Amino acid sequence: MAKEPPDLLQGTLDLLILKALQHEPMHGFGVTLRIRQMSDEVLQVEQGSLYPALYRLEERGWIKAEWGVSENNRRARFYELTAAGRKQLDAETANWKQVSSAINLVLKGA
Amino acid sequence: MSPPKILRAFFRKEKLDADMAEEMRAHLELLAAEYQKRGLSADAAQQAAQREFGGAEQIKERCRDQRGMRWLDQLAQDFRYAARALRKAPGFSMIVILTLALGIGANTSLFTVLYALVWQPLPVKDPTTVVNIHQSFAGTSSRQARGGINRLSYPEYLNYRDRTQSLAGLLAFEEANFTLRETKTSKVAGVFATGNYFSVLGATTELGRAWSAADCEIPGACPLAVLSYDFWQRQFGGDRDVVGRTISLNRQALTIIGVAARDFRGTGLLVPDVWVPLPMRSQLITDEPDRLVARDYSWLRVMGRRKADVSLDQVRQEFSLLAQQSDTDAAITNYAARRTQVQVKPGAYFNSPEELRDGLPIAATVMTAIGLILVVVCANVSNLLLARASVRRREIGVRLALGASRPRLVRQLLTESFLLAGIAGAVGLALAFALPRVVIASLPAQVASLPGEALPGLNLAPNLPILGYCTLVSLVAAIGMGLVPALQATRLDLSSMLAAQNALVGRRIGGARLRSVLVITQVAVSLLLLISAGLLVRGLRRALSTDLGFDRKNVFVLSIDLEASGYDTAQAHAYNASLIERLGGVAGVKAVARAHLAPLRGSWSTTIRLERDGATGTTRNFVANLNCVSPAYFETLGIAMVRGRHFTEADVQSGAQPAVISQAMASRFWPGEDPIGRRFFVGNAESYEIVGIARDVSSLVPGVTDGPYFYRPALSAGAGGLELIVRTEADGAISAKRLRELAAALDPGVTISIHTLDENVDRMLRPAQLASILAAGLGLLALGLVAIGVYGVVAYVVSQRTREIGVRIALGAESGQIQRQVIGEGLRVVAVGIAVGLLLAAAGSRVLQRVIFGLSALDPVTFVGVGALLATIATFACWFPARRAAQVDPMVALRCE
Repeated sequence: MAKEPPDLLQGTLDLLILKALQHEPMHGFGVTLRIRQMSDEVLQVEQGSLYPALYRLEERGWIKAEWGVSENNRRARFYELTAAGRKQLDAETANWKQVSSAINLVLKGA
Repeated sequence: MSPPKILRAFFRKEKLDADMAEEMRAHLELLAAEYQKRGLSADAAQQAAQREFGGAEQIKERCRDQRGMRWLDQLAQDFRYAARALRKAPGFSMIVILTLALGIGANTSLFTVLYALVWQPLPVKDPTTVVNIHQSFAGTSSRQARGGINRLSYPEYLNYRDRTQSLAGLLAFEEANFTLRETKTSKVAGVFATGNYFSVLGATTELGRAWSAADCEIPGACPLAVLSYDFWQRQFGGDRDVVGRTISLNRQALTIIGVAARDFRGTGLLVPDVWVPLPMRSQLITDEPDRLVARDYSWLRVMGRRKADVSLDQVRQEFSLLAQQSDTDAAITNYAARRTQVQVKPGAYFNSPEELRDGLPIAATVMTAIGLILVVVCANVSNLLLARASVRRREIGVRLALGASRPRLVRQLLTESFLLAGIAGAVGLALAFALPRVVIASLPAQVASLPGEALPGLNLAPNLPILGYCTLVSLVAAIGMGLVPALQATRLDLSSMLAAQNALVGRRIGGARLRSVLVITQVAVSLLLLISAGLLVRGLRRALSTDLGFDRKNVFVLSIDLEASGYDTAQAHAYNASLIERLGGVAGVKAVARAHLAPLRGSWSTTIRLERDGATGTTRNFVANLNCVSPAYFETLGIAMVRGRHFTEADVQSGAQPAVISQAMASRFWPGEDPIGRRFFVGNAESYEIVGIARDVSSLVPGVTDGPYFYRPALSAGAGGLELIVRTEADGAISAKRLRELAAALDPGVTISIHTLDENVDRMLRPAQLASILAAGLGLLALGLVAIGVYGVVAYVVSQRTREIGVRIALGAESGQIQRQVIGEGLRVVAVGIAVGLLLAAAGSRVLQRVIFGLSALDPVTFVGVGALLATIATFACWFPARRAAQVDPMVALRCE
């Protein structure tokens, strides 16, 4: 765990969540674990930002939720990407690649 | 968010909340499980999970924020909370709602009446296409008028009617009173109308039919009548055989050809009893020349109906053009330099330029007064809300600490104001429906006797504009009274708030300056209203007791309408002579005189030309009031002669034309000269020689001296309205009944109305009386509100400083000292308010003087008196809480919170 996790902008958080849900439906806790895993423990999403983001994405129709049973036999809400969500994921990924390479360019040309 | 989701979010909120809570709990457990996996004990794992999770409630709040239509949620929540808060303080809520309801109700009542008079469409078919036509004139012209200078003459009406393309029909009518001779004689309200009156207005008939133009090709040859539904019920008992019968109006037999439908109420404020064809006018009103051919004479009210595809502006343009053309048409006007302007307005009861000009200032004044009451009400309630908000500082502070945003809290407090104003608005609306009816029901007793039982046709039913106005006023009131307290209450410094709660002394009670401003506003505005009322009442009293220039004690005025009873000139002459002789011979009667108009019974003016020595060319026309009187008039009324003599019977017999002029006339038209012996001319034929100058009287408006006025002998020509003035020996020497008996002995079929001169004066002052009653009522209302306001504020201040007072009493302060201090502080603010109010009243009375007759400006008695009254009431309002303050038990005050 890094001492001070880097701040995540709202837009990028959305992107990460969509990515985390790309392959299989997961509940909220699972999403944070996944993001931690995928980022090598660098990015740790706080519950305070996670759930509002999940609700927002559900609002926009990019993910949908269903009740299911979690690992410890408890009722939990599982989120899954929708078709629109997948399209959004592609779009935002492309956007991020564009922006980040531009920033890299700027930083390289000291 | 799609609509189904929105509805789901709104209605199944609880379920969704439960879901969210469960979701969080699940997450928490998973977290705890993870910690346990890492080796912590169950408890430690739980705690660690909690810590990491953070504040669940805040997260839930943020999640809820993401849900759409959040504001609807919050609004519902605010309302529930507001309702609960109001229920918890029922006394406070009641006072606020009642106070507000009074202000809103008064406002809406007035608007209802105004709307019904000015804007409401007429009760005819398709009222939006009906228009009123009025004329006003510039350029050189002289014009006589009967009923209003903006009305039209018959030739002008015909001109427009025959040449308009934009109107589907143009009708004309005139209201008149007739004498009906059935088993007993009574007066009925009638309307002369053109043939297309009923068809253009779309009026249907219950029985029979209405006449049309074809019935009246020849003027005077269509003696027909259409009855109104109410009159038919009243007079004929709803007899369905009434068509074909005759009735006698003004001694002219008319055949009833129809009864109007029940819902047709005519085009005036009063529902007429009978409609008669316009060409019959000369047959029914025989003491006037034939108005149908008169040019430059305003007497007809004209209305039309627009064609479906024509706009109001198009009508206006067309009529402007027609008016211009008519100015050069000699068949329509005698005056070549006349310039007519036509006003075309949507049909309403009162919208001639003259009526608006006269009515608008009065309406504006009353609306301002009522608006001021609303201001006082809002200031009052605002103060109460401020006080209450201060009491809730703890609660608000806690909520702010818990993370509520300030705008959110302000919104919630405002919702309370809106709820209060909403309830008050509903109550006020109910008040507004009841009040005008009550006022109008009590009016007929006040207004001069109306013929028959004509009812005002005002439609006071609830309708959209009135509802809208009430809502608007409520909203304005809500914001006006709620915004500042809401902002003030949330402007809290949290730490000092929590700390200061325990302070003993020296704690400044938040918002003192604001409260003072509000109290000053209330006091000043109330003072303004009260002083205006006081000035009005005093002015009225003065007008009633002023010397009118004639002696009005013990004088009866008999108004006799011989012409309506069918007398012709010779018969009238005989009747007059006979009656005067009879009355003169009765014991108890001191003097009898005859006049066309008794004092305060109306006015009659004409244009005169002066004789210039030598030159008889065009001189300016002057206007003077006149009266035709018998020689005994001056003596009977006690009008002194300043110079010369009054005319005598001998003058009349000899055929000379003497006249007596008033002082005002002498000084205006013959300044610096002696007018005795001079002549002046009226019309083309009549010239008069001045034989005497009479003292000025005020016979037109009580309290105001008449302008130029002259008296000429009552000629025997014309049997028209006759007024006999009878002076009796002493109070009660002769009763009105006796006089009536005497007259009935001559001819019981003649209608006579008898009043005393005092009654006439009272009747003329009736509008001012009504105004003063209204003003006094409003003033007292304002006074009551101020009393409540001052009491509320002082009581609140005392309650907040209970501990401080307790300490002081414990340290030895006397109850008198405490009381004096509390009262003193309260009165200091009130004093400022009184000072401001006096200034406002001084300025306001200037404005009022121009609108309301009989007002005396800057009357020191009123100003000082009312100021003292207010100060006294305010002192009492401060005294009760002060007394309570002095009775504070120091032990109790210091012990509890």
